[in-house]
Amino acid sequence: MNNTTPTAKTPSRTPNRRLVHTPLDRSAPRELRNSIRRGTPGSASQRNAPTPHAKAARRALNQRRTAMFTPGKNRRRSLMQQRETPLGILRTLGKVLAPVSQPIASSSSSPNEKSHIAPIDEDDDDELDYDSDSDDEPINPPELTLPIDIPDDDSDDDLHPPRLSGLEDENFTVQSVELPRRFTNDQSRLSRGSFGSARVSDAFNEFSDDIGQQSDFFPGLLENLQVQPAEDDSTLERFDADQTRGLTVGLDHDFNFEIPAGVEEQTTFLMSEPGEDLPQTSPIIERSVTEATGAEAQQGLVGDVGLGYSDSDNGGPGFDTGGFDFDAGGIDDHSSIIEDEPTRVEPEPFRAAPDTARAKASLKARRKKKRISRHGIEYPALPTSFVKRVAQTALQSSGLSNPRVSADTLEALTQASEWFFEQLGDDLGAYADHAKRKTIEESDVVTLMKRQRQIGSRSTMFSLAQRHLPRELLQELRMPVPQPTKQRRAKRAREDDEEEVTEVT
Amino acid sequence: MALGKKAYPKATVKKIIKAHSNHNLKKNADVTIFLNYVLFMESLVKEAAIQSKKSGERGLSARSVKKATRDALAKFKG
Repeated sequence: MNNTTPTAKTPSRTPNRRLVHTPLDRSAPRELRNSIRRGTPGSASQRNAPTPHAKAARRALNQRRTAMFTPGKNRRRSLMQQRETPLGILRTLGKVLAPVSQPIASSSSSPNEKSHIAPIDEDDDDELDYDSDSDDEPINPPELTLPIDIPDDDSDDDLHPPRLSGLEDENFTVQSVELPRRFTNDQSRLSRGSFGSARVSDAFNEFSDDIGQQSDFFPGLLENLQVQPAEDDSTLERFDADQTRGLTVGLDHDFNFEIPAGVEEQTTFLMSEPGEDLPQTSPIIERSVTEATGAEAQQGLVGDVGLGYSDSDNGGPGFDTGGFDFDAGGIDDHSSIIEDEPTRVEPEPFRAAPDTARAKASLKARRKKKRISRHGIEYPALPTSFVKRVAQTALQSSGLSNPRVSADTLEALTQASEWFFEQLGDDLGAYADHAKRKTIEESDVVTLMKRQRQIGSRSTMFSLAQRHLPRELLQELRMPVPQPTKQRRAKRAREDDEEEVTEVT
Repeated sequence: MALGKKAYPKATVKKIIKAHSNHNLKKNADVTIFLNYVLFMESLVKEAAIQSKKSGERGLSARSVKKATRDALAKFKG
C-alpha cells in the first residue's frame, strides 16, 4: 500500500517509480479492489486516468486484444504474417544466401565443362576416379541437382539414387496421365451396375451396338452369335468397333444414331434370337434362317457388301422415325466398314437383309408379334397411350417449352420403358429368390427403391407416392384392403397366376 | 397429377413383370412398381429434356431420349 499511494498522488515519470512499481496491470486491479472496499469508484478512476504510462499500457493491451480477435485487420495493416510464413522465411534466407549458392544451377546445366558433375556420371566404371573427385569437391550438391535437369545422362549411367528419384517423378506424371483412361473404364463398369454381375442383360450397356441387335433376349443373341460359323470374327469385329469408338470422337455420334436404328430393327430381330433356342416361337426361326442364308450369299460377293449396307441405310428413313439421323449414321458407318471389311462383312448384311425386306412392316409387326421373356413366358406389349400419359405428366414438371411428345419420341420412350420393366422384373425376381419366395412382395420393391436411392433418409415410399401417384392409387397403397377379403383375393389371384404359369411353360 | 379414369393398365404391367421375373406378384407390389416406373419416367424425361435443351431443340426429341435412356436405366438398376 505504501508504494501505491504515492503513485496515485503524484503521477510522475520518475525512474524510481518504474523500478519499484510492478507493471500497471497489477496496480489497476488493486485500485479497483480498494475502490470497492471504500465504496468510491470515482476516485479510483480519477487516479487511473492521468498516468500516461497506464494509458500507453492499456492502449497496447487493447491493441493486442483487437489484434487477437481480428487477425485479418492486423494482417492487412502490416504484412507480418505473410513475411512470417515458412516460404517467406525461406525466401529471405535464399536472398541472403543467393550469391553463395549461385554456382549450382550452372553446374547442372553444363556438366561437360567442369569435372564437377561429369566425372560422377561417366566414371562409374572405375571407382577410383570417382573417389578422387569426391575428395576434391563436395559431391552432394551435384547429386541432388543432377537427376532433375539431365535425364539423358542418367539413362546412360548406373548412378542409382539420383535416377531413382527422377524415375519416380516420371511415374507420377504417367499415373496422372493414365487416370482419365481408368476413369472411362470405370464408367463403363458403373453403367453395368456392379463388377460381379456379368449378366448377359448387362451387356447392352457395354456395347451400344448390341442394343440395336438384342433387345429383350440377350442370351438369345449370344447364342446366335455362337451359332454363326465365324464366331471368332464376330467377336473381333465387336472389339474393333469398341476401340474405334473410344478413339474417335466422330464415331461417337454415329453410335448414338445407331441405337435408334437398332430400336426399330431389334423388334424384329430380337424375337428371332430366342426362337432358335426355344422351340416356342415358330415364325421367327424361318426369318433368322433366311437372314443367315442371305448373309452367306453376300459374303460371297465382297464388293457388294458396301452396297447392301447402304441399301439398308436407305431403308432406314423409309422405315419410320428420324430420317436424317439415320442417314448420317449410315454414312459414318460406311467409312468404318470399309476400313476393316473382312471382319465386318458378315454381321452387317446379316442385319441389313431383313430390314430391306420388311422395313415398313416392322412397326406393325412389333405390335402384333409375341414377346417372350427369357423365362419363356409370353407377355403383352406396353400400351403406348399409357407410356405417353406418364411421360407427359413427367414432361410438365420438366419445364420444356414444348410439352408435346412426338411419335418417334414416344417410340423411344416405349422402348426405354420396356427395357426398364425387363430390368425391374429381373431385379425383383432376384430379390424374391434371395428371400426364398415365389412371389414378389412389396418389401422387394422397397428394397429395390432403396438400392436405387429413391427411398432414403430424405424420402419415404409414402412421400414419393404422395407426390407422384393419383389419389386412388395412393389410398390403395396406404390402407390395404381389409384382411379377410384381401387374403381371399390374393389367394385366388395366386392360384390363377400359377395356373397361367403352368399353362405357358 | 390427373391421370385418366384408369390410373394405369394394372393387369398389363403385372403380366409384364411376371413374365420377366418368373414370379408372382403380391397385391400391393404392383402399385409400388408403378410408382417406381413413374419415378423412372420422370428422371428419364428430365435428363432427355436437358439433353434436348442443350442441343437447342424445343420439344423432347427421340434422340435425346435415346441418349438419356442408358443412364436412366443404369440409375434404376437394383
